[in-house]
Amino acid sequence: MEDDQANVSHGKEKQASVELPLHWSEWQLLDSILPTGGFAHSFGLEAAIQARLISSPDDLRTYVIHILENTGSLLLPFVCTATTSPDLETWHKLDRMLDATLTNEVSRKASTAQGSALLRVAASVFTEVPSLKKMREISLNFGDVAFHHAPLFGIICGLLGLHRGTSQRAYMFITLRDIISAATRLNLVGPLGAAVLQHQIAFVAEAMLKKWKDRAVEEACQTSPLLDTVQGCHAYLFSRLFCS
Amino acid sequence: MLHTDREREREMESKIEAATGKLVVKKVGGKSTVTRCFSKYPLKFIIPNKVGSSETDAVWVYTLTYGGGIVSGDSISCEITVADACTAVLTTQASTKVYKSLGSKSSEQILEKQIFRVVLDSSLVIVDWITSGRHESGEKWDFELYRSTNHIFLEGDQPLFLDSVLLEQGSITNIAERMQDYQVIAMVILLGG
Repeated sequence: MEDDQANVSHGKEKQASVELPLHWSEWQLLDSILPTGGFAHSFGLEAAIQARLISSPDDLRTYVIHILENTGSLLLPFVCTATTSPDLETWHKLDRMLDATLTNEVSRKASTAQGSALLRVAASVFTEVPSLKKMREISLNFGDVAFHHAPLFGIICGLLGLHRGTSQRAYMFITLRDIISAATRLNLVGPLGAAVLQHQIAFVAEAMLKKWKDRAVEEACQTSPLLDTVQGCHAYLFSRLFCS
Repeated sequence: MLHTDREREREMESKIEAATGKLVVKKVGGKSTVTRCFSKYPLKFIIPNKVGSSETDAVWVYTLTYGGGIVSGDSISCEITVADACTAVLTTQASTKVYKSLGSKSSEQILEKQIFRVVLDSSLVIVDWITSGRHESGEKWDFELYRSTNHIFLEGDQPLFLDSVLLEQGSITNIAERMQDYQVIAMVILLGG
């Protein structure tokens, strides 16, 4: 009896010793301090303000929710598939598909810029996963890989050993994090108000995740064509703080 | 999950069999000509001779649905092949109207999918647009679901342009809110030289 209990607790300890360090990697990946250049992008928020689509905190809340829904419908399938099959062939196929799917040039460029930066950082940081560095080098040599963000985020999560449920939730989280951050820098909301808003929207984000997770990339679609159009106008803004 | 070649072949065959319309445009006597035209209810093709300038070599094909609109339960699929050096225009007589069947259990759901397979030197113009409804009746983005997909593939199934727009009334966000005060949304794609 005592032996059994000892075995069970030893088994649990073993499991924990594998899982607990993973939390540190996960948190580091989600921390905004990771130098992936996400702070340079506003997810169309800057263009939406100048297009007079946002003039009150309520408008901002609505905007964030619409962007999260679009992230869910368009990008989560890519994160999901990449996490489940984090191999070179799958990554390149997803990268090509997303390149054809992001028809808005502004968001396409933002995706490749963030994706490239993320892979470069991940290859340097998570050295216990040598395939990250290898995949990066091979793909740079190919020349026609776009390095889109969503598939790469999924690949990195998958190679680190994170489950696809975690990686998809994480992707929604970093999107929410970055838009809220952009909103404070655009003076739409103060830092404390931003933190309150982020927590309130988290419940909506979880509902969005439940609706859009675990889908095939063939089902990827956009649900906010108006916002997509507005984001595409970012390049025409006379004065702007953000890249997108 | 990759389909085997045989599975894909079988899939394509069953799709052609189920097609409501099939059209082939080839060069006959130096002019773009419809060499095969098949349609079954509720679809109909009208191919008038004298549309457009006589100096332009182009076949104009109008698609009609009996009754002038689409009602729930309608399912239409067309397959159109345009041969080398030919030009075809595929359009509708007027805007396609969607009617809600009275007492119908199914909500108004419109699913549209257009797949274009082109070669390197093809030219293609696509215009896809939707309005919010009949304003006089107070309709403003008042339908349950609208999904329009336009995919363009190069040779070897290489994806060139994959666009799928879904407008669905949701519990958290509704369509009117997402479209704000805009009543029309249109997409124009220009490909080629």
